[in-house]
Amino acid sequence: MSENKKTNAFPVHNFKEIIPFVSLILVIVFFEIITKGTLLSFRNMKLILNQSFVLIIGSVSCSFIVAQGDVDFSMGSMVGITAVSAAWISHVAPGLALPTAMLIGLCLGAMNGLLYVKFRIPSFVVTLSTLMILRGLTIYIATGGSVSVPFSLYSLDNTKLKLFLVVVIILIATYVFNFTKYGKWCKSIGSGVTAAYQSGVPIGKMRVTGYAISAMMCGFCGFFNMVRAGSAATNTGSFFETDILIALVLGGMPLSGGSTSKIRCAVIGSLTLAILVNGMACWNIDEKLQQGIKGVIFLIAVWLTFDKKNTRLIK
Amino acid sequence: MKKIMSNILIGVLLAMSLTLNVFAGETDKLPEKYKIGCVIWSTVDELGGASARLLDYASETLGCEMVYNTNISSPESQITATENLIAAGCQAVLICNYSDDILPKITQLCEENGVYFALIWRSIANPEVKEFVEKSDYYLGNTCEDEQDIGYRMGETLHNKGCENIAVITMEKGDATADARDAGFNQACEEYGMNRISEVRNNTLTAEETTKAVENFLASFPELDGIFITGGSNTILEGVIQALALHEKTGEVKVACVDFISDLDKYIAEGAIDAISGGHFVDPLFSYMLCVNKLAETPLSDTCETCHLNFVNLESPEDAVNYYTYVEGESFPYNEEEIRNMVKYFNADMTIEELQKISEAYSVNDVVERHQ
Repeated sequence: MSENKKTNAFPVHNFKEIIPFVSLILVIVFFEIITKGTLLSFRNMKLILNQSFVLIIGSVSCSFIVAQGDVDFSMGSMVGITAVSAAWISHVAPGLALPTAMLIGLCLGAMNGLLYVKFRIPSFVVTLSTLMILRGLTIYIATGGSVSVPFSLYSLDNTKLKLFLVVVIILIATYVFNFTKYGKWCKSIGSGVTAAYQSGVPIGKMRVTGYAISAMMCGFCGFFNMVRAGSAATNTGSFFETDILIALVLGGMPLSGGSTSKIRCAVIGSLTLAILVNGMACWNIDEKLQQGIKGVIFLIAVWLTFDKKNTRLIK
Repeated sequence: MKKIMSNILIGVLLAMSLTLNVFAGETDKLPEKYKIGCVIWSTVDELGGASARLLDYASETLGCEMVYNTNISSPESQITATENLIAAGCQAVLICNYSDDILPKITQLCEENGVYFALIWRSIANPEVKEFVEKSDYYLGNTCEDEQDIGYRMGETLHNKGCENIAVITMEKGDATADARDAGFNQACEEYGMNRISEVRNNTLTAEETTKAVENFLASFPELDGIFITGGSNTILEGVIQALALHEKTGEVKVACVDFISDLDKYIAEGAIDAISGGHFVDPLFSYMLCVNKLAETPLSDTCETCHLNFVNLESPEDAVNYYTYVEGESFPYNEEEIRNMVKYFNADMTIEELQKISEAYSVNDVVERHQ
């Protein structure tokens, strides 16, 4: 009897795991047919990579926070402030723009983590507050609202470079997430913070470094956003955090964290979202309908992949 | 026999008229169904919606297709929106750019894909960017209004109505249009010695949020006697009017706004609005014409061109009624024949100077005279 139960449970678990991947394939096939081959044309695939580059990196780095069962609502503002800072620096020393953006991100992320750990303020409250503080600071440092970038930096908005970087970052993140103590500890905190603590996991340090790494990568995203737009403005990175959360959910990442968290969820979800946006534009679907369709797809994705037994989302 | 003959005659006449209609219909359209994209903030608010309806009407008249992309919350999303329109097969793109700084990237993108582009509601202020963009063979030009002047005139009107302490509702810094209007308003404040006592900067204000903002102004600054709104589309002006009515301040606190909303005749009659300018929803039509003429291989100019448009000022309820009757109601400011005449393919006499003359002549009186 118990064996029967086990054999029945196994396929359901597996089914849930493959849903995001199957959804991605279905989305690709659907839009490839409906756009009469435009979607998978070489030119359009380059476009999708360009559009999803920042989203993939943001989602992958955010996975280290989400795996611990936490969230970061300040990622959009983090991208904004690092992009504007990098844009200013790029006028003086273009070579220092990227390191500066990443360093600023690292410091701001560590500050998020420290506020969460030391002052015991829930992560969503801390990051919602920093979302507003950083957006205000961005408006302040952007002075005229928008900061241009020297033309010499435009060459970095390069598909080959982005492909190389995205592959390297995914490989490193996958290795760290699956094969190092750090990645395993992230998931163990998400599975049960008390058990993790009793097993000797340094919860505070893990949380601070999680936020710091994620924000450092926001600096990386901010830099490439700036290069892509040729400028950074007060609203650079707007809704980035929302896109990341949507991508993670579409990819089947459990927002409650834990052992089922996977880097591939972030990659699959980001690609699905980017293809959805691009596919609907190529399909010429009425833009008034696009938001509604995205909402319905998001709802279906949540219904299919969300772990209904564990409804605790944020700490 | 007579009956048979008359039936045959009627049949032949019907067939001939049908054939003539079909041919007449064919010559009414451009030789190819050009696909034109538009990067715009919204197609459902007052201004964006009216512009989209006019562009759709012009496209239907000429046999073109319009595609819109409104996912433009940040500079990088404007790039993405343009890329997606190009991927969707647009041969030309109209762009309401967030700031000058994104234009070099847009230019590169359009050059790489062989897509023409023109700006709507915008001019390029940055000389370096202007030089870069205007060098491109794919940049066709822009249509713009004197945004700084309208801001100045709004400030001047508030001063003439006795205002001294004014609050401003505007967009976050960086929006080229709002910033220019704001600069003009500041100039008026300096010249006439008015105080800018407070401001709200938000790109996504709703009517409810605006009502709350005005309530905060009223509570914090009892001396408030004027409100200037740099862009009243998207229910912002309604929110201001509602807040002032709730606190019985209608008429006491003067309201000046750029952008029209519906029911302006009623609001002006009630004294809820003291100065309002708008009607610039026709702006994209002229940039659209630059694109259509280029795509139809009958370009109006070999270089990029600018069409200037005047704002429409409504001062009385009658002005507003006329505006809704002739300009932005069920009828359009330009009828099918006038739209076709803006395209050289149909009207060999059309020149860039003629198109510029049409845009500069735009006013309620101009439309009334042409259509009455």
